[in-house]
Amino acid sequence: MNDNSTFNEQLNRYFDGELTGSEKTAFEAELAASPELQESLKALSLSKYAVNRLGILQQVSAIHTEFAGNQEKTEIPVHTPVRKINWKRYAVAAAAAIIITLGVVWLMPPGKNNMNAQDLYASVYKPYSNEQIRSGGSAQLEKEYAARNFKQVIALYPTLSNTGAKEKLLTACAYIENGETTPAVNLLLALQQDNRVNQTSAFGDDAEYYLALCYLKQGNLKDAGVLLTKISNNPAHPYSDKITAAFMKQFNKLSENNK
Amino acid sequence: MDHQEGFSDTELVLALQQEGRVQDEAIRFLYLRFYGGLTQFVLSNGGNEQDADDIFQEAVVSFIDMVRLGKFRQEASVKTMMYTINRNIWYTEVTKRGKRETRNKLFVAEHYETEQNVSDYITGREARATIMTVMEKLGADCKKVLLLFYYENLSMREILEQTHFDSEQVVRNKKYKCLKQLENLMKENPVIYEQLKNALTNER
Repeated sequence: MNDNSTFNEQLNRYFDGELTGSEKTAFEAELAASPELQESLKALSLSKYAVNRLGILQQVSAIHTEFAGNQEKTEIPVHTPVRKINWKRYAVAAAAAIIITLGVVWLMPPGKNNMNAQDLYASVYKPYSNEQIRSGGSAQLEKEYAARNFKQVIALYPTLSNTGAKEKLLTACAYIENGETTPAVNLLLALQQDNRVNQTSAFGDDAEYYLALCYLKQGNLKDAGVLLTKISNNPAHPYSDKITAAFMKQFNKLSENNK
Repeated sequence: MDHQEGFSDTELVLALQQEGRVQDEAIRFLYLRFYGGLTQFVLSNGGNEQDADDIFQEAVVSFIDMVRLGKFRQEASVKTMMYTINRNIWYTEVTKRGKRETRNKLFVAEHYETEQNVSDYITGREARATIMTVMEKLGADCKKVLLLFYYENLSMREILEQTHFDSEQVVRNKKYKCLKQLENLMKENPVIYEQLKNALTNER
């Protein structure tokens, strides 16, 4: 038998599928003849099982929270207290809304009553502003983002030694500004995963909003719908004012048409 | 074939069988399709809303786990399986709490063909819960590296990008050490360790 550290290294490499060719064959022969080695392999499998189970638990728990939140939201009208309505104020607001709506309809090109995913994206997209978060070690990346040097932000990101939620969000938004939604989605999903693993929520709301918009731009209405509904249903969400009921109506119409 | 909201039973099982991170859509499908009926079952059998919620969440995790362990080979439908798991977990919980009346009511419920598989699996419920508390003893860095490698299936390079480590080799060493640490932590409770080891060996 090899010495202990080589033994452990080989065992781990075999377990992770990194041994190949003659190295693998030799190790498997050793494995077949050694109950001790077989026991160690079982222990690794058990540890991996525990890790994967934790992963499933965290993932289900995140979706459970999201789902339960939506369920509660649907019940909100039942508990909403009846408020006295200031009809005068609402009449002015309603008149303004009619004028704005007519204006929007008039400005729309013919045939645009049924907006497509790109139109919807454009109607709701707002570039991320990082003015409020500038601090810390990635100041250069933030400075470039604030100066709208998006290609520079994208180039800087891989050179950073520590990339947290802030750096991921800014780089994702730089990609979006650059018209590249796929790397933006990957970074935003990585940000969300970091938050899940660390049980934090850093820039989680921003990530949700921009992820929804990326999906929308990509025409992935299913995933976009889940996030947009979540944002729209939560008045406390900082982006809920952007995902209005009117927007959701258009979105749902688009989703129906695409079924 | 049962087909609804984008997943047939077979498609769902295939989606859940993949190693690593589960597709969010597959989990959402389980919620959309079964949350109402399964939580209602617990509510109708002596549980409160919190119980119904917790039991359903555990049923979803257990179902995914059973699919991955090869304990669900579609002899029954996903629906039957989910209902059986949910009922068995609630039965175990009620038994633990000593509620005889509810337990008897559940006990005379109809027999499902999947019953034996599910009750065998649920037998390891406490062991699995204990192992999860053991996982909590691992440091945050360890949990992150292990989850990113084994659950997210990320490469060392990708993990390096998401962590503060200096090189891929440092990440690799960290992963080995963390896995060993986890193994030692689990072995601190030899009864649970053996129980789970046997359960996994039999289940695979």
